[in-house]
Amino acid sequence: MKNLIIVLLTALLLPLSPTLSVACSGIRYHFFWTEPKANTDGSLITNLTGTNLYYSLNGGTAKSNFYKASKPTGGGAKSAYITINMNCETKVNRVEAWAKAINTDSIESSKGNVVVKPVPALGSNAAGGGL
Amino acid sequence: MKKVILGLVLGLILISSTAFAFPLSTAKLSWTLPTATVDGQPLNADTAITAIKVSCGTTSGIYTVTKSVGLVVEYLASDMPLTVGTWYCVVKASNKYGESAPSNSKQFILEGSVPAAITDLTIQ
Repeated sequence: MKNLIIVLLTALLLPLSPTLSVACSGIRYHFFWTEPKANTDGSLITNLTGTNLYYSLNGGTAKSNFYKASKPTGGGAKSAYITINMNCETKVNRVEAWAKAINTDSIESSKGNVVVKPVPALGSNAAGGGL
Repeated sequence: MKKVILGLVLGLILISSTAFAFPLSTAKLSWTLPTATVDGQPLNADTAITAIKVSCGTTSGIYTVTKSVGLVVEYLASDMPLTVGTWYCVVKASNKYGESAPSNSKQFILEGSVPAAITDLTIQ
């Protein structure tokens, strides 16, 4: 009886179990674009503040990163790296991205061209990815 | 004898009779200078206009942006500086005897320019 009590009391001193999760590592993508130099009405841009680069995985909710303008008049050649985490449960992931210029009035350009990059299935020659 | 100038008439150029929204980058306030004093006498060397003052605000009757713009009859809204939004503006003329009553108040909307789309995005 005494030993039973000791065992039970000792069990109460054990730590809680850790939480284990598994995630796919991200893949780093390199984006390139050119800032606009004009507005849609033909006037030259004088108040460009930067570019919002949007990206989504498998058509899900898009996220965005902001990149400061080269200069208020735009026209700069820009590039950026974004690491996008893949979905381990999906054989082939698909990354979509587009860019929007934004000015100091917080007015964004319309959506430009959309780039699509299919990601090979895990276990194949996925650069930098996989578990 | 009241030698203060009559009030001005304020208008916005480059606009149709129905539209009152303008691109911020090109909107211009313009006005017609008075030619007489309050007592109806034509302006002369003694009562000539010495300054024009433009006042604007985002609430009717409350002017938060004021600028002396020299002896001109038009001024770029963006040089006030005004920003995107709805504005109310009046203009006053001054001579050495004082300042005129404010002009008619003009309400208008300034719209921001939209940057052109980025169409050469690539991914590697």
